[in-house]
Amino acid sequence: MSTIVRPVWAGKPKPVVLALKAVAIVLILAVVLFPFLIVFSTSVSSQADVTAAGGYVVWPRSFDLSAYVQILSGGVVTRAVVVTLLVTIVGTAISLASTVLAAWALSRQGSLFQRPLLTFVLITFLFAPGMIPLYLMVKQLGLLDNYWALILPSAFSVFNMVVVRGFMMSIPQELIDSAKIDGAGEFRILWQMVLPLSRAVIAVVGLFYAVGYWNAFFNALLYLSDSTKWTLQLVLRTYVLQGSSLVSGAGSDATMQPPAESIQMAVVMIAIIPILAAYPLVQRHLTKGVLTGAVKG
Amino acid sequence: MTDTTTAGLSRRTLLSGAAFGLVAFSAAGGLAGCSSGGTAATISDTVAALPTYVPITKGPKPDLPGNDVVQPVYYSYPQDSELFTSVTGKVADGSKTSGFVVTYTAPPPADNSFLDYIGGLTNTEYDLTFVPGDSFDTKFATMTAGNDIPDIVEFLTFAMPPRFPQLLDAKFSDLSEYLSGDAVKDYPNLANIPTASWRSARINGKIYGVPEHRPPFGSVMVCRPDLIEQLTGAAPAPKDKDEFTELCRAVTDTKAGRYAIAGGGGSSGVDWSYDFIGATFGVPNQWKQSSGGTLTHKNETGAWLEMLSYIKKLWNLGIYHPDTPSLESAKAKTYINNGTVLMHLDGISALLDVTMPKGIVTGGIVPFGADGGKGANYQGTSSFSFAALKKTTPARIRSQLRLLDYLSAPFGSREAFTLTHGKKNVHHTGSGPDAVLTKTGEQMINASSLYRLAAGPQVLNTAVRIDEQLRQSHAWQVATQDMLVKNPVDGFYSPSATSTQSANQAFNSVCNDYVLGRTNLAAVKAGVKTWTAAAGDKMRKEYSEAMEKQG
Repeated sequence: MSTIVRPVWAGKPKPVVLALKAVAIVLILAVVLFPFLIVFSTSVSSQADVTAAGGYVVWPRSFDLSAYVQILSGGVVTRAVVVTLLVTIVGTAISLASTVLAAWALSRQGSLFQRPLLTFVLITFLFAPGMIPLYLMVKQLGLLDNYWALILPSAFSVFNMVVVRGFMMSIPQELIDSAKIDGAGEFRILWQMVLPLSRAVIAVVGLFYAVGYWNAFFNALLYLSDSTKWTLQLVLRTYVLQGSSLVSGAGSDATMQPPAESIQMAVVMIAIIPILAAYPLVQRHLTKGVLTGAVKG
Repeated sequence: MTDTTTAGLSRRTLLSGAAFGLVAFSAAGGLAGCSSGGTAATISDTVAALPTYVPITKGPKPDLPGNDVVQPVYYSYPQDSELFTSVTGKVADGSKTSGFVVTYTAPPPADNSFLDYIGGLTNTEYDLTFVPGDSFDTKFATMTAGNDIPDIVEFLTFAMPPRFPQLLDAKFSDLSEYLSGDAVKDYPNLANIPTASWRSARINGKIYGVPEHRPPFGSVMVCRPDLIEQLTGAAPAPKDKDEFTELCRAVTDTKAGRYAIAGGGGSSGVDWSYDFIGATFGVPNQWKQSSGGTLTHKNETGAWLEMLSYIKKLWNLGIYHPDTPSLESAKAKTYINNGTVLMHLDGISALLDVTMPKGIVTGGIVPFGADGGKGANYQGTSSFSFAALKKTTPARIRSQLRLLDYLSAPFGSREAFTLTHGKKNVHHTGSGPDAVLTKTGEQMINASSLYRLAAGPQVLNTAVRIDEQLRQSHAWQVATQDMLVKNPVDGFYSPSATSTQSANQAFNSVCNDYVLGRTNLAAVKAGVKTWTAAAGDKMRKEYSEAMEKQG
């Protein structure tokens, strides 16, 4: 009688192995969470705690929100948050629309100018525009000091389009053909069949776009000279550079200001919270979406 | 901001704009390698005389006196009755003034009543573009390419763009005829700026801007005299290198986690407090000029090797904080505050850190000679930046200089009080020493960064009274004012000096390896030769030519 030999990964793990796995997971988790703990703890620490800890606090002895109050008072940061949210929402919507439409058109063999258009788009992978030509282009379009300058130059990512196109190409042609036989037009096929099937990849690409817009710093630096229109990252950078609010004006009591390290860490918290909040919403699509096309030639 | 570009985006527009923008581009170092190989600056044969220094002597009497080197001390702001008027008559010509300033603060709120108020007083409307400190080159390069240069641009004297003379010559006004020699007397507040500060604004023999004054002291070895006295029984006053070594050993306790010195690590390499220890050993302030006129860089001197060996000795004794090779300056300050470290090289403003925990007073170690001789202290550029004016008409230049004259109002003048306190009951309440900024004032005045365009000479005064720190800072300045060592090439321009980053980093790396025991002195000597071939010889040639032509 022959013995059935199961591969190692198919067998029931031993308790020791399970324990080792648990320890490994906890360690990895600790390594990931420890920086967040330091960031949070330092952001809510007083000057005395920061000084005693030599800079960064692991576990706060007090709970002091003055760094957050300092940053959020005066309206500069809150205005930047609103601006950045709007740019992120509108920009992501435009980017997704353009990417999905382009990906769908370029994934259909035989559509009008499919080959030359695809080549034209892909060639931008090789020749990216330089900073100054792009600035001149934005200027000539009259977009300087305009929020559209933060959206339009980066509205379409060829990389993201290629990812979405790869996913759409994996949709069986028979499905499309049957829909056509039933009388569905191209737009209806895209809207009612392709998009629901592509939810995973669209969620991931949407996250990529949203993170990109949320973190937009360089475009804002180049195209927005009016500081009242600055995005969050640009404003927060000024705090990080110098613990800037501590450079007090005449007559203000700088000794009452929160420590520079707390302000810097509060800045980090404000910058990452929205992305941390959005991430779980698309997490279930992430693995599937990111691996799209990974096993295809 | 005036838009003078053509309506359409032609290929010529794109290429010419890109080309000029690239000339101005330096921050990312993308063109660093090319810049030295490009066209060298044409050195001007004529040299404009620096503006005549006419100090303003009226106004409130300082609590501790100053001079053109030492800053006067005012423990508190003077009474209103002591203030004097430094500017009379119309200031600007009524048109808008655009400016480009480096900022280290968050931007001001949208409705800036402070700028509106000052605009009303100076007969102009301010339109300021702010750029975070480390992004100047990138932003400026694109603005130059787009021909969007504002009326007044602040250039940092320690980070000039490559091919700076060509840029200034092409796009900015030569102010020599308005400011050189006695001509500056038309602008009394500008004439009140000490001569040393103007040197950095004279490029290629022409005066291109109005400097933002700083005292001439390059740096100070900040210390904790209270803790040092507690540990050694005496105030820190070493007279030679042996006494300094002994002091460092006495205060270092590695088991308790306390170290005598914290150096600092950054993108440009490790600083083992080079400026302080180097001056002690007679290392020149960047360059040394022989009586025959030959320039020798500090890296090429025997004193540099001596200093390096001494630093290595201190490192081996465990006197430096072990994090020194990667220690951020902000963290070193925290270490000073909590007593982990007792000495750290910093700018002299560090002696007036009002955010320091209450009860802590820092002081400065007075420099000394390694062999017990007279100490030396490197002289800085005496300015942080200068404000250059875009090319324009003579009438507009005069208008803008009157504006800068107003903004340069000295401490003790009504104008200076207004520029730092805004409008009564809007931006501040109370008066004189009791003036306190309102919430609106706190949010707007400093954030407006108007002082980055121009400001009066700095004095030792803080909003929060820190008398003992002011005294310590003043005493250190008085003690070291005769020790200043000038950099002989200060005020001269070398195109190659802006593209030496990789050579400097390589040399710094060799020096670090030697201090840390990873290599020997022969490798450092070889590093000197490599550095000289890669950077030193080119700079020497360019500086020598400039000095020969411009005297």
